[in-house]
Amino acid sequence: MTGDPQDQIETDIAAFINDQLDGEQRYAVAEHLSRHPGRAAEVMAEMRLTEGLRLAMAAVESPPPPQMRLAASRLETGLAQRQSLRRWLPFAAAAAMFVMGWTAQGLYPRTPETPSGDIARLFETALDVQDAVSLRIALSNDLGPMPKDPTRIAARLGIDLPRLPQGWSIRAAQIVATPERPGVALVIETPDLGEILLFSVLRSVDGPDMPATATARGDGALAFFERNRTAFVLVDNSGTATDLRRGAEVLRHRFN
Amino acid sequence: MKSFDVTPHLEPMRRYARVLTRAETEADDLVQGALLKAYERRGSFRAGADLRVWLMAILHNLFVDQRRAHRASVAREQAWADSNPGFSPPEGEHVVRLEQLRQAFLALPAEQREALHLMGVEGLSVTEAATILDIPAGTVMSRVGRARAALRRFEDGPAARAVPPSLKLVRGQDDR
Repeated sequence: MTGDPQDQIETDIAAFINDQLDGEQRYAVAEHLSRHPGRAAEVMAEMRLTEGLRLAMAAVESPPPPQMRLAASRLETGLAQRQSLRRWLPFAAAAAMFVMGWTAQGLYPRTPETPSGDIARLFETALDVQDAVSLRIALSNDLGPMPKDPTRIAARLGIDLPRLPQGWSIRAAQIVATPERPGVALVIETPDLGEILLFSVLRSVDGPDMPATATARGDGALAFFERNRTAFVLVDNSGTATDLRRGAEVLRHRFN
Repeated sequence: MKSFDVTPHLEPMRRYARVLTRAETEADDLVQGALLKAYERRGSFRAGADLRVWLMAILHNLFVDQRRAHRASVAREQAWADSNPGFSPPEGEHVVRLEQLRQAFLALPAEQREALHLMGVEGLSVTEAATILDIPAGTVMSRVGRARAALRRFEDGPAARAVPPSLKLVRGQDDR
């Protein structure tokens, strides 16, 4: 808020008119108005106006159409699934570590946190990255087309990207922010997996290379592997964990 | 109990859509489109955020995008000022006055109408309204102030008077 007391009282009066103040604040505004009868009359006129508008526009005449209720219900389900996914990611990552047969100690000397926590964080970042890239693609008409060649981006970020298998093509490439450092996201069309997202980020500390592992999420899957100090996460919205892990394993063997 | 209850927000969304479009069918199409957009962007909803503000911001942005795309549309040149874009008719002894007030409100410039609706009718805070409109809080306050001043001039006029000719606009490109 502004530091000007007059601006502050006007802000409080606006909140008073909208019935958004607690008891003590309402008392303070009422006390101020009692000492300024001219302003008090204006405020009463504004309250009459507000109440009039609320009465005049209180309700929509018709009930929501069935397709609108359906869309609302679908959104409720989608939001709930997304929330449960985020809660579940650490467990999924722990399960992935278990499947890999690794112990929590020794594999990840780079951070004090557990390896499953580290992968969970990468998975969550990859999902955020996917949202950001989807939004950027949707805004292509306004913001212009997205680049499709990640070579310069990857070189600038020090990321060694795998060569794509035959038939795989990059639809969009984008630099993305992560909690640690910038990464690169590629939207890739594949013949077998459909559209997937490959998110790559350079690690801050050396660690061992890791083979591909994958886990299911909702209708899709997430996969992870690490090579040359770079973490790679694949996101597939509509495939199986087995297929995505296979795709990740293919990529893992396509470095120069 | 649902984790995310969208249904209670349909009514505010439909009200705001009517204020934005001033056309009943177009308004419900806008809400439908906003729900679809919200589903597509569900990953951008952060835990603990206000679902109503998030939905209203998506609705507002979709309207802005659509208006930009169809600015020159002949269909949007329709006269609207005497129509009721789907609100329930007021009741009671003040019915005539309230009908007139609604028409005067709908005749306000779009930016004033949007700001006053969010704060005055929906009861949102200035911060919430600023988030939805994607403008500074001070700009919201000044728009609300101008809207209130215009409507007070109307309110202070004779009760039987119809909507002032100066407010009876034809919807078009200069609306904003």
